[in-house]
Amino acid sequence: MIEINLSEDEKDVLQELMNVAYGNATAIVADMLDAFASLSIPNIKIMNIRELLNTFHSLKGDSYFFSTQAFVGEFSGECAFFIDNESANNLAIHLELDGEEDLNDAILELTNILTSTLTTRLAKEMNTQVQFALPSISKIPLNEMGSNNAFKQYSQVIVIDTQLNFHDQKINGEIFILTKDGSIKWLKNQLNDILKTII
Amino acid sequence: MKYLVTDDSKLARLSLIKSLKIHVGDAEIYQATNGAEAVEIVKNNKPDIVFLDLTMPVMDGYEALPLMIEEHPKIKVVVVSADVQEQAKTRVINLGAQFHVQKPINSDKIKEILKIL
Amino acid sequence: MAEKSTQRYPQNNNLNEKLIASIDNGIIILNDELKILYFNKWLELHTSIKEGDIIGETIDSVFTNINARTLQRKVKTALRMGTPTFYTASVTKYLIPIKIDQINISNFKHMRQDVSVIPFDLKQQYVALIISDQTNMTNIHNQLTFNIKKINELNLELLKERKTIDQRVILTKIDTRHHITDISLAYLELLDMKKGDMLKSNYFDTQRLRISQELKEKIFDYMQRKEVLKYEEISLSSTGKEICLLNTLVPEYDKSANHIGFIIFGENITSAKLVQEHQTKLLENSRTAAMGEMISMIAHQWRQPLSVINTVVATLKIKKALNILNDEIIDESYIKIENTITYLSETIDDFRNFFKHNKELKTFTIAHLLQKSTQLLKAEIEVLNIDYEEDIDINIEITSYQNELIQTIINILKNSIDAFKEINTENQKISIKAYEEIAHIIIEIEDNAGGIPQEILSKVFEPYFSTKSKNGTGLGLYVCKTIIQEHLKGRITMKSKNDHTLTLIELPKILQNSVAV
Repeated sequence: MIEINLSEDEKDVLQELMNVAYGNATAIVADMLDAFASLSIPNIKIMNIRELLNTFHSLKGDSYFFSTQAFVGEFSGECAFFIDNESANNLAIHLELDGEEDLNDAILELTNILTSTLTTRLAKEMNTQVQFALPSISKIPLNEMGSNNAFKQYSQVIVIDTQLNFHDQKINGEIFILTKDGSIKWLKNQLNDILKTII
Repeated sequence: MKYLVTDDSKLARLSLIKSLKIHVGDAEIYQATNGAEAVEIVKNNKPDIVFLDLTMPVMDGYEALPLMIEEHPKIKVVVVSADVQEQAKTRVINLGAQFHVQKPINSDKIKEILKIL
Repeated sequence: MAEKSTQRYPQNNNLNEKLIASIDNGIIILNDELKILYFNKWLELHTSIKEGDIIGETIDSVFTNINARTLQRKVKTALRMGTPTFYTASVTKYLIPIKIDQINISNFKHMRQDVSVIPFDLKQQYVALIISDQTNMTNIHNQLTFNIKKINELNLELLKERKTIDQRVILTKIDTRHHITDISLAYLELLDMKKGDMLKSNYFDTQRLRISQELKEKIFDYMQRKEVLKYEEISLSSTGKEICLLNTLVPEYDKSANHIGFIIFGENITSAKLVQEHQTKLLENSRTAAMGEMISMIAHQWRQPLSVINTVVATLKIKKALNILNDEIIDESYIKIENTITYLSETIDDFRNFFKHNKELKTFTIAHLLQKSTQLLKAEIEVLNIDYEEDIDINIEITSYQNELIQTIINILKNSIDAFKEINTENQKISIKAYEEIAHIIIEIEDNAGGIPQEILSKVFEPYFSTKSKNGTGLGLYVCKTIIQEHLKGRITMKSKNDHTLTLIELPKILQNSVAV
C-alpha cells in the first residue's frame, strides 16, 4: 500500500476550504436550531483504520449517537457524526421533540445538513459535484466499534474533524469526513490546482 | 496606506494579499497569523485597514477586534470570515468592524470594499 | 428520405409526465407552506386518493399523521441548503400511510418508506417528496437484526461450552509430526504445567510420557492407518506424580478433509488404577495367608494317615524283630501303606489344584463344591468335635469359577472353625444349605460359634479387619467379598443373632464369561 501524505500547504488549503464549507453548514444548522454556534478550526489528518478507531474511542462518554451518511462523486466517502447523550437530550428539548423517533430523526437531519453542506461546498470549491445517500443512525457502544465492519473497507482515510458547538444550548457534536484511497489522490490533485492559482 | 492581513491560514493570507495588490500596488502590507500578533502589529505599526479572520488559534477575531480599536481608534476593520451566521455578522459590526465579508474572498470583493472605505 | 428527429427527447414535455406517471415511487410536490401541488399516479393507486381532490390542500390536513412542524423544518432546510433532506424508514417508519395487503410481509401494517425532500424549484420554493417503498428492506433488516442477535447468543453459549470442555475434558491435539498444537486446561492442571511449555513439544516426549516401545509402535501403526485406538498411558506431572490415562486417539481433519493430525481424548484412571493395584496386592497377601492356612490344614490332614503309616511300619519292625513277619502281613501292610500314600498324594493334588488359577468357567454341582471345600477341613472338624450338616439338593448345578468359590467357602468355614477354638461351647454345629432361586444359587453357612456384635458386623468385610486373637490377617472376608462381587458377580452378606452367625452367598446360576483376575 502506498502511503499518501498531505503537505503542509495542501493541508492549509483543505483547512481553509473546510473552514468556508463549515461556516455554511453551521449557518444552516444555526437557522434550523435558531441558535448561534461558535466555529472551531478543523483538524485534518490522514490516518489508517486503527488510528481512526482509536480516535473514535477517545471520544469521551460511553453513551452517544453515531450516524453516518455516504456521498458519491469524484470526491466520495462518508461522514460520521457523533453526538453524546446529553447533547442529544438538549437537542430534543431545544426542538421540542417528543419521543426517541423524533430525536433520531433530528440527529439524522443534523447529520444530513452537515454532510450535504460540507461536502457540497467542498465539492464546489473543487469544481465537482456530489450526491448523497440516505443517512443512517446507530447507537453502538464504543467498545464494539473495533469489531464494526463498516470502516474496514477503508485502508487509509482522510479525516476532517470539526466540532459543532452551540454553547448556550449545550449541544456539542463532532463530525468526521472520511474518504477512501482513490478520493484522497483526487483531492490531492485538486488541492494542488488551487494552490497554483493562489501563488 | 498601510494594510494588515490576519489569518491563520497562509493560503488565505496569500490569496487575499494577491487580490489586494491588484488594487493597491506596492502599499505596505503586514501579516499576522492570529489575533494577538495582529494587536501587536496594530500597536507598533498603526495600519489603516485590517482584514481580520474570526476563527484563529491563540486569540480569535472577536477578542482581537476591540483591542485593535483601543490601540488605534481610527483603524478600519474588515472581518473576512467563513462564519455566515446572522448573529456573527451583527456581533462583529457591534464590536466596531466596518464590514463582514464572506469567505472565500476575491479581487472583485476587495475592489468593492476599498471603494466604500 | 424523411428526416428523423435528432433533438434531445426531453424537448417533448409529455415524456416527463409519462415517466413520472410510470415510476415506481410516490412523488408529491409541495410549496413552502406544505400545500400539495402535485400527487402522482403511484400515490393515487396506493392511497385511493385522487389528485384532483387534494390539490391546494396542506399535506398534513390530508394525512393527519404527519407532523407538520418536522416536515416544515425539513422543507425549509432543503430549500436553504439546495440539497435534499430525508425521512428514513428505519427511524420514521412512514410518511404517507399506505396499508399493506401482502401476506409475506404482514409484520407491518403500513408500507415502510424512505422519503427524500428535494429542493425542486428554489425560485418558487417548491420541494418534491420522493417516496420509496422500503418495506421489504425493513423486513429483511429486522430479520437480520433478529438473526444476528440469535447468532450472538448461540456464539456466547458455544464459547461457554468450549470453556467447560477446556476445563473438564482431557484433550491433546497434535499435528502429523506429533507436535502438540493444543492442550486442554483439564490436562494441564493434571500435569501441573503451563500451556506454553507444552505447545510445540513432541507428544511422545519421554520426559513426560511413559509408554512401552511396543505400545508406541502400535500407536504409530494406527496413526499411519488413521484409525481410532484406545490405549493406556502414564504421564509424569511436573511434580513427578504418575497420571494414568485411558486414551482414545482420533484422527483430525480440516474443513477440506485434509488430514491435519490427531486428537487424543483422555480419561483419568489414576485412582481406578491405584485401587486395582491395591486389590491385586491384597489378593496376593491373602493367597500367602491362605497358603499358610492350607499347610496347617494339610498338616492336620496328614497327621492321621502319617500315623497310620507310622503304625504299619512300627508293626512291621516289631513283627520282624519277633520273627513273626510273614508274606501275608507284608502284603497287607503294603496295601495299607499304598492306599495311605495315594490318599496323601490326593491331598497334595487338591492343594495344588486350589492354587492353580483356573480361568475357565466350569459347570459343577454344589454337592461337589462342598465336598471339595470341606475335604481339607474334615480332620480339624472331627478333632474339634464339630457337628457338620449339609442340607442340599445334590442336583443343583452352577457355572462359575470353581477354585475361587472353593477358596471363599473354605475361608468362611475356617472362620467358623477358628471361632469355635476360641469359645469352647457344647453342641458345636456348622450347617450348610443350598438352594436355587430363579437365576441364582443361594448358599447359607450357619454356625453357633458365639455370633458377631451388630456394631462389628458392618465392618467384617473391610480390609484388615479381624476379631481373631492371633494370626488373623484381616483379609479373609474382604477377599471373599472381592471374589464374590467382582469375579463371581454375586453378593455376600452376613447376619448374626444370639450366638448364631449366618453367611449368605448369592451367585448367578450361570456366570457370563468375564476376565478373572
